[in-house]
Amino acid sequence: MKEKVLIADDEEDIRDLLGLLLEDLGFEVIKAGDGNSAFSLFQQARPPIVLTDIKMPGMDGIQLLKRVKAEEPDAEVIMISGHGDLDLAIESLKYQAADFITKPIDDALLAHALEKVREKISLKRDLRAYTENLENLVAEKSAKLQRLFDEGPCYVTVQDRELHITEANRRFKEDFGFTPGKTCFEAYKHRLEPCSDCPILKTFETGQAHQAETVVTACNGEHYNILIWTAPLTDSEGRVTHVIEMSTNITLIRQLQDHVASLGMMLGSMSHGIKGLLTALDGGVYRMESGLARGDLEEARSGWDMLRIRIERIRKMVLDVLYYTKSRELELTEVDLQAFVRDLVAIIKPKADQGGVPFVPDFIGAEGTLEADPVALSSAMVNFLENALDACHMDRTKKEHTITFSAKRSGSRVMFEITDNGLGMDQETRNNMFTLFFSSKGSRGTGIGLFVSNHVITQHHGHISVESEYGKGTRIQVELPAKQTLSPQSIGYPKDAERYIPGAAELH
Amino acid sequence: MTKKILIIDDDPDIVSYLDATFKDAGYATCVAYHGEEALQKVKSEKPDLITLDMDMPVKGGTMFFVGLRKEKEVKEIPVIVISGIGPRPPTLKADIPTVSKPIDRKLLLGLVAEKLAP
Repeated sequence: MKEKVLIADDEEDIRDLLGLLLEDLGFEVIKAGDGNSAFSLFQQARPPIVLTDIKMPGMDGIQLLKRVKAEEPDAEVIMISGHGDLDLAIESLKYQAADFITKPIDDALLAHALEKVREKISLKRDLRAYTENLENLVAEKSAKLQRLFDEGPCYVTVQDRELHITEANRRFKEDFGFTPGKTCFEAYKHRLEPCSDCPILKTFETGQAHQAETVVTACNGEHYNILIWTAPLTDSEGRVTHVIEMSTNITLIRQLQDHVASLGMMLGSMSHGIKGLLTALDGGVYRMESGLARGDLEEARSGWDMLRIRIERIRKMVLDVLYYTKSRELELTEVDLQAFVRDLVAIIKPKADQGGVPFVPDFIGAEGTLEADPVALSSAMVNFLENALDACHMDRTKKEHTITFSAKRSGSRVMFEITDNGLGMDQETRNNMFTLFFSSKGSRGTGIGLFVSNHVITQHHGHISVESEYGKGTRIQVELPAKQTLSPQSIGYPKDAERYIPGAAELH
Repeated sequence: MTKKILIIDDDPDIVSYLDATFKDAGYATCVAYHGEEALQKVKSEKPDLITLDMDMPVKGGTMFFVGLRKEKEVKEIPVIVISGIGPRPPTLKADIPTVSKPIDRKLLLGLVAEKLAP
């Protein structure tokens, strides 16, 4: 491609001479006879090179140089100076003229000056093309990186020393929101201070990668178990300025693990219980058969009683397991307190009568209503009442037993109290009574009943207090708010069950 | 003379089962519902044989056994462990036979007869 050169000179002879020379050197030439027309021509034709005389009427060469440079900084201007204006030619270099040649014009010098300018232009072009290419490349690469950053199958954040999240990927923004300046512990945990054992702070301290596992709360209120990896981001001097955190959602794995762990514990605890249960069933069958064989109806009846109680236990055990494996939300309704406790009596009284244990209800002051899930709360209370019956049944040290059951309303609270003078609990049993799969009943317990009772009462924002002494008896007090002002949560298989599973920590 | 067996188990139904089984087989019986009660019964009843459950409140089978070995005049009374837990409690000596629940009655009565043979 031929480069275009604009020649500005007021002398026509010089214009023609220069034009011929330049055409010979391989340039395309356009000409103007004064500064003003040269500038308009420049604006139209945008030549990369301008060759201008310094002394011209009207706009002189220096002015033209300034205007061309202002219009197009990349244009290269070569000045032509006569004898008397060498100073001006030198001054023009200050205004970024590419070069100057003197009259009379030496064609070798002119060719040399033009060659220099052409090289300069071609270098500039290369440089520009290279830079543009580089910019495109960077834009392309960073778009790709951003996409990877956003679509990575985990939460990625970059945090500063104060744990402010400075960058976050799309997944994080979707699940936890992104407000510039928000801290990690606010976004993840809704708390006001950093977590103990923060892996990010450790990385700031040591410059090493760290790992942690925790439970976080997403915008939608869901709890996620996440596994966190951190890595330091350093500045040019090797100082850790930020830490990048990558968190993987491992909730499903943890849930499965919890399920497997608790299923294993359930089977373990039940196999022990079932062995005892089968032994007692054998006993019932044996005593009934030998009673019948001898015509001893009293013995046969004892055997039958054993069988009946055990069958009831199997039923309860199966229901416990079914209840445990099912998860449901609290269904709160307005419950009439008197009707609620009378229903409980209707369930327990026949069983107490059968065991010959006097059952004394006291519902003076049980007035008004209670906001609760009647099905869940009733099963929780039945567990306590049946335990009282069992405690009397198991106790051989006393002949006479009594169970009392009272309910009353006290201000905005409802109080239930169940007392028995049965077997009572030793320290270990008392400490573990609400632990999942702990049972003091050997063949008769699954260790689920009181765990669920405790959970139901907790979900109702209530409180259980227990006094018990081995050989003396037990008093259970359940206190509930009459109105459920706080938000109810799901019951049945609780999300935080691992808190109650002893030994589950080793699995994590 | 009729041999006497001390039955130790915290589950009254299992006690009554063992009680009927042994009585029907011609033995006299006495019962205790946990280890501590059992240690008193050992002294007062002087049984010829003891069946022992392991998992009981107050004092379990292992601690009962430790208590039994301390008393000179009763430490030689033969013991049969009847338990749903594990194969054999670790602190017991190897020559203590274990019957697991649910109980094989013939096996149990055979063991009892063997231990009580002169």
